[in-house]
Order: sequence, then C-alpha cells, then structure tokens
Amino acid sequence: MIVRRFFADKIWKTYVILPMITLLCLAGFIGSLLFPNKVLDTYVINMAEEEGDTEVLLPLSRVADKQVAYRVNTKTQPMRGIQIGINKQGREITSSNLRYQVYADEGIENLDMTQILEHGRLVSDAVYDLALGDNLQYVYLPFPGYENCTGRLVIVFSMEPKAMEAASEEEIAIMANHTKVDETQTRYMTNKDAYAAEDYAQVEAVNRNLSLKCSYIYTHDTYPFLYDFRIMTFVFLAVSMTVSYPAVTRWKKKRRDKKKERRKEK
Amino acid sequence: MKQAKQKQFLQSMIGFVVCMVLIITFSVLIECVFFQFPALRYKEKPVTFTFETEDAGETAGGTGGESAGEDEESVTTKQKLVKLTDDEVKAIEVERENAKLLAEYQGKEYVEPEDESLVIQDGIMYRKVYETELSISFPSPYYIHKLDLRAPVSSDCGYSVALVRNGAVADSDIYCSIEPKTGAGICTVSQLADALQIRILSREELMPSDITVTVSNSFRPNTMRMFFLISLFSLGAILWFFKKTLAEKPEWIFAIVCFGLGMLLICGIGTNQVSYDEYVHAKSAYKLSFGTTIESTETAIQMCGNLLPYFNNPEERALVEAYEDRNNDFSWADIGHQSRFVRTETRVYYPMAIGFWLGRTLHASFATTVALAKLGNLLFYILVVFFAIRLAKRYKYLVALIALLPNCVFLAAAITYDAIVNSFLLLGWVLVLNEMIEPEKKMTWQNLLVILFSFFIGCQSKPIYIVMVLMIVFFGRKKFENPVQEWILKVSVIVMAGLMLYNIFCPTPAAGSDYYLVGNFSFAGDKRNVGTSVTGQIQYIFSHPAAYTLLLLESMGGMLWGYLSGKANFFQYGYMGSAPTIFTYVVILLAAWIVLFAPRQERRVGIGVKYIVLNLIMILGTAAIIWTSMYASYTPVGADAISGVQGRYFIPLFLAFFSCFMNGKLESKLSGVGRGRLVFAVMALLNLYMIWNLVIRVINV
Repeated sequence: MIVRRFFADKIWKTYVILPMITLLCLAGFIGSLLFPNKVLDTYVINMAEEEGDTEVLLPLSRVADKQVAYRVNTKTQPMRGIQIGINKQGREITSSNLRYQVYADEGIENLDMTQILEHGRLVSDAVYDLALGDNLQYVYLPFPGYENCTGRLVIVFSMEPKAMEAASEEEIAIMANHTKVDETQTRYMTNKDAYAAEDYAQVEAVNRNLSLKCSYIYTHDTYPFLYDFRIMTFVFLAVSMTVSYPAVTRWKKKRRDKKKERRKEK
Repeated sequence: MKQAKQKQFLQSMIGFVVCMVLIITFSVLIECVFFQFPALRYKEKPVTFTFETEDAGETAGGTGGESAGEDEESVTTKQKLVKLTDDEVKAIEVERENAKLLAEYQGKEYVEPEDESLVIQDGIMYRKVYETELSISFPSPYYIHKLDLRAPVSSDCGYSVALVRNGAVADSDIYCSIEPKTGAGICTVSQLADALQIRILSREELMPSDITVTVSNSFRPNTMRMFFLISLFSLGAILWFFKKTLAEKPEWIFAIVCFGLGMLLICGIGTNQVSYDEYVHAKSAYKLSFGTTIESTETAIQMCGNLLPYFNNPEERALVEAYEDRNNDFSWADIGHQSRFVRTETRVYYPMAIGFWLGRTLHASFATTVALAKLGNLLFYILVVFFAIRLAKRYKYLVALIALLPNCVFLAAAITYDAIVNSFLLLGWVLVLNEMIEPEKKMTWQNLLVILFSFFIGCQSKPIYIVMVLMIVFFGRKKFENPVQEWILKVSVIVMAGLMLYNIFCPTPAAGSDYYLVGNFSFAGDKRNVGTSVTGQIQYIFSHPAAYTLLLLESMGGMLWGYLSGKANFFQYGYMGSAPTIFTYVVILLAAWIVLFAPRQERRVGIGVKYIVLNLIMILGTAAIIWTSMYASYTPVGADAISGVQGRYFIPLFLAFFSCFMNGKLESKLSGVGRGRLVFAVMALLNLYMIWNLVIRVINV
C-alpha cells in the first residue's frame, strides 16, 4: 500500500531520493564504525636462518619432561595467537597433543618452570592435536581468551597425552635458530635430574642464543567502507542542497503572501 | 535530404577507406625501399664468430665461425678498476639504508654486507672488472647492420665496439649492455667495416669459448616503423576528411588521435619499465587483478621488483619476451593472500587490473598481458577525457590540448594511476569552469554530483588536489536555491575536502596487512631516498618557518624558470627522455592563442576578476602544498633543496591557469575547423616527434 502510494504520488523525485541516499550513506558511515571487520594479521618475527646459521630442532617429550618456554612483549596489543614450526620427524603422532600455556609475566627472572609457576599468571591454556597436519609445517596456535594476552608474556610449549591413562612416549620437535630478535627469549627446559652433569651441560649449550622460529598473530579492527561512506555522506548532502524543496517553496510563498497581506492592511 | 546525407557520408567513407589503403601501401613501400635500402644494396650473409682458448693463461685466440671463411679473431682478458657513477653509488647507499631500516623494523642487528668487488681509493668508489678484448677482421668490407654478442654472464656487463675501416678506427662510440637473463647484447651498427675491436667489461672472467659474435645485414621490415608511418599519414587523413566532426564533435577526434598515439607507445615500449615508478604501480595493479589469493609467476615477481630485462631493439625484444614467457608459468607460481577489501587508493588500478585479468584469462603471452593492462588505462583515460571535452563550453580545444600533452598521453599508455588523476581532475575542473562562466545560472544536482565524484576519484591516490574543489565555496549566491541550502552545501564540500586531507595523516585501516605501517607515522617517508622522515621534516618546517618559506618560493620560481629557460624540458616520456624546450614555447603560445582569441562566430565570456584572483590563489596554494608534501616525504630532513617535484604534478592546474585569460574581446579569423586542425596537428605531431625520437629510434630499430 505504502509502496504503491509512494510511486503513485510520484514523490520519487530528486528532493526525496537525494536526501534518502544521504541518510543511507550516513547509516553506512555509522554502521561501518559500529561493526568493524576483524582481521588476523601475521607479523613475521623469525622464519629464516641468517647466513651461516642452521636450524635447531628442539624435541618435546612428556617422558623426559622436555618443554620450550618463549618470552615475548606484545606491549599494548593483545596477541591472538602464535605460528610455530612443528617437525614430527617422520613419526606418526596419534595419541598426543601439543599444549601451549600463556603466562602473564609478573616478575619471572629465569625461564624455568618453578619461576614461571611462581611469578606467572596463567592467562591462556589450549592444546593442538598433533595427529593433524603434515610432517613439517607451521601451525597457527590461537590463544583462547586472547584479550588477556597483552604485555610481557611467557608461552610454554609441552607435550601431553590425549587420554590421561595413556603413557605416551611420542616425541616431536619445534623449530628454532640463532637469529637475534629483540625483546624475546627462548629457553629449552628439561628435567635436570634426568641427566648426568656433562650431558646437561650440552643441553645448556643448546640454549645459547636460541630463538624460536615463529610469527605473531594479532587481530585488528578494520573499516573497509568507512572512508567511502563518510565522504559520500557529505557528497550527497552537498548534492541534495542543489534541488528545490517543495515544502521550502510553499513556506516561501506563504511568507510572501503574508507580507503582501500586511502591506495591504497597512 | 536524408538520402543526400547518406550519399555524402558514403562518399566520404569510401574516400577515407581508399586513402587508408594508399597510406598503408605507401608506408610499407617507404619501409621496404627507403629504410631497408642497405639490406637490398649490401647483400651480406650473417657471419658467426666463436673463440677458442689457446692456453690456461689470460691470452686466448683462435679462428672459427660457421661461415667465417678467412676471417681472423683474437681475444685477450685483463683486470681493471672502473669508477662507479653517481647513480650507482646512490643505489648502493639507498640499499644499505633500507636494509638498516628493515633490520630496525624487524628488531634485528644490522651488519653491513661486504662486497669484495668494490674498492675505495681516495674517497672514490671503484669496481673491479674484467676486460675482454675481441678482435675480428673481415676478408672484405662488411656492412654490419646488427652485431649480436652472446656470453653467459651472471651480472650486468657491457661492451663497446670500435669499427676499423682502411686500417683506422672509424667509429668507437658504439656501446651495448649484455643482459644476464638472456645472455645477449645486440646493437645496431649500420656501417661498413674491415675489422672490429670489441671490449667487454664484466664482473666475472669470461671464457673465450663461451663468447659468440654474429654480424648480419638481413632484410627485415620493421613493423613498429610501419605502424608509426601509418599513424603519421592517417593523422593527416583524419584532419582532412573529418571536418564536420572536428568542428562539432572534437571529442571523437581526440579519442582517435589519443588511441593511435597511445597504441604506438604501448606497442613500442613493450615490457620495458620506463614510466615513473612503474614497478610499484604494476605490483598494485597485478595484485588487484586477483581475488584474495595472488598467484605471482617469476616474471610477475620480476615486474613488481623492477627486475625485468630491458630491450633496446626488436632482436633483443624477441629474446626478452621469450624469457618472460618461459618464466610466466603459473604451475610454479608463488602464492600470496590479500584482504578481500581493497584499499581506497588502490581502486584507481582497476582499469589496469582488468587488463592483467583479461590477459591471464586468454592465456596471452606476458608482453600481451602487460599491453592489455596499459590498454585498459588508455581506454579509461580516453573515455573520461572524451566526456570532459564534450561537456566543456566554448573551450573544447583547450581541454583537448591539455589532454594531448605528451606527459599525459605517455602516462595514459603506461601502468600508473596518474592517468586517472589527470583525466578526472580535468573533467571535474571543466564542470567547475562551466559554472564559473555562467554565474547567474543555478547549479544542477547532476553537475555537482559529477564534479564531486570526479574530484573524489581523481584524488583517491593524490588527495592533495582536493583543495581545487574548494572553488565551489566561492560561488555566488545566485547559483543556489536559498542561503540555508547554500551554506549547508558549502560546509559539506569543505568537510568532504577536509576528510580526504585528514586521511593522509590518519589513514583508515581498510585491510589488515599493513596495519602497523599505516598506523605508525614514524615510518612514513619515501624509502627511495636516504634520511627521509615525515615527522622529522614537519618538525623542521615548524622550527624554521621563515627559512622554509624562502626555500619554497625559491624552488617554485626555480622550477618555472628552469622550464622556461630551457634548463629542463617539460615534455617528458618518463625515463625515456624529453622534447626540447622550443616545444614548450609552441604549446604555451598555442594554448594562450586558444584562450585569448575566440573564433568570430563564437560568443565568448571570461570568468570575471573575482574568479581570476581566486584561481591564481588556488593554483599557488596547491603548488605550495605539492612542494611541501615532497619536502616532507621525499627530501632528507633539513635539506636545503626540495627533491622529487616534477613538472607533471602541475598538469591538473593548467586548465585553471589558462581559464584566467579567457575573454570575449579578441577575435581570430581562423574558423572552428581551422583551430581544431591546428590544435590536433600540433599536439599529435609533437607526440609523434617524441615517439619517433625516443621510442622508435631508441628501442625499435
């Protein structure tokens, strides 16, 4: 009914359509502001070896309690996740997960589990099913509750069995090298008691200048149409000011008539 | 009446077709008889020379060649130091500075790379090179048209040729580079010689047995030269036959002339990247031609990195195009991703992106794909300018003249967004000028919509020019419905322009990939120059306002004086070269004559003193903003000269400038047809002169 009347009355005129487009652009402008498009952004931190450097594989195993800790400073941005290189070394991994825990660094001095548990606050904890993926690939590990993953963080990577009763001896390795990356620290942590003093010295030697091969994943709010809508709002507002509005014309006519009447009365 | 018109049209079409057949025949004859005369006179067979190593030492020699007969050759090699040019030194400095910045951005320690081939003596940088000298003698004088030297090299190298005639060196000014990607360097000699002395300078030692030299003088008609001759003669035919169109619809003549000139440039230049920062534009257009997944072939990667091999003649062109096609294999393309939302300033690449997409879809060769991308740009430019000329009131030829400036035609036939900038700003200003000419007439919504859209699109990639649209703010009250609507309109235009300028300093994140760089002003600054920083430069300007104002005025005056005094040439075909300053005078005089003198039958009016003053203020202001933007982004902080400003940046202001001289007092005897012929003939011949000198003779012979 309304639509029929709309067209029947021939009010489909520039003095209607142009302000309508202006309002639509304004709505688009407000909508673009209110509903931004969230995007994942990859920041490549350390993915290739410099000349003369070689890749280091850091084996993770639950039995030998081999873990990797990585310290990072995201400053003010919440970290959405991390992408690290996993090498299954040709093995089929069926009953293990990769566990990655993110701790807010509240005064951790040395990267060892005792310090991390004592001075760290767990802000994210998740697992990645190692049965997935290829033998060698960079996997994206999203952080649940990533809004809290801001500032100085320590990420601990470890192996854990899928079922509590399964005593898994499966082993994978994550990739590292010796590229110097500012404000980061990588430490390969093992159970010191499981080694003889000489063997443990070799493990400690691995830790010199160690750097995890990884990319950081952040999310950002982007506004793909904000620019266009805000410009178009003013373009159409300007354009709609060039047309003659019947209401204004009628009002002007009334005012003229009134003036005439007053003159006559005088 | 209708039948008579049809008959007249048919007659003129038949006349034109016959004329075109004659033109094509005549052009082919000129090419085959005049330009190929040496090949007809000296019927030489191609001769190939190979060289053999005599011993393991530095000296080698030998005789050989497929049809060398009694020819003699020898070869020697030695090491020497060659001084680097200023450009080479600057390139090394810029590369190191950018590597340092990248390391800083990635949080890594910068270690300066060591290049053993570089030697610094007394503060001057030299490079160690090997000089291989080849001597070839012919049993009887040989007319060499082409000299083809093949050598497997891994880095840039070149050679010089000295021609020996009657026992003395007749010409030693022939130089040619050997392209490592094709392993060939072919030069045009076109002289008789008894013997040749070739000196090859290379970074690595060449094995004589790997070098082959072929001399030839074959009958090979040059298609580009024939295309040029056909275009030249066709121009005459068009201006002769299409009198009525020239007077009534000059936009059609513009479209034909611009298309012809653009096609000559596209076909003549091929894949040589000779436009301003063409590789940067090619990268954006190429990426835009894909959706969210980008497939970059090796050739495309080289195009985006300005690494494509360069050709100097048709023979090298064939080798380069074969190399490009070999490496344009999508089966081993590099896969990348991009946001599905296109950044605002990237949208101007759509005409070129369509060409890249079309070439890929049609499985065309790489060179054809690049040509299609350029063609997309050219057609879009022609379309927009076509409407600019059609909509222009009483100064159509001036618009055509500006649109046919060599710089504009060249940019329209290249991969760059400048064609969009120039065409849309021209269209926008034509409509603004129409409004100025009729100050009493109310502004229509259609006109204002097209004006604002033209400036919006034209300023997407160069928002600085948006200040030109502010001229609407100074329109008189009579152009508007009522004072309230007038004020709302003017405030809206100011806000629109302000928002576009605001986006330069605070860009809206549209896609995620460059969020950090977009949001971080401290990284802003052109990375092609050492020591640039936008924040640093702005701080410098504010701390030294008087010194900067003086520098700005000096620079503006200096550039204007440079173009007028002949110190610099305004008409340029990118990095290919320029036309002498005399042509600048000719075009300025022609433009001045068009605006000052109206044909008798045409009633002309000026734009009034108010708009003249405002126009001049706007031109000066925009020019100052352009200079300042280049000082902030392209010039090292605190430098005492402004770098990077080019004459072409002021082309969008030309119509505004010349419109200041429009008047209705002076008359010329020349009719509309005569004026049209003069404008199109001068502009087309100027472009053809530049195409002949810079494109045909330099890289197509």
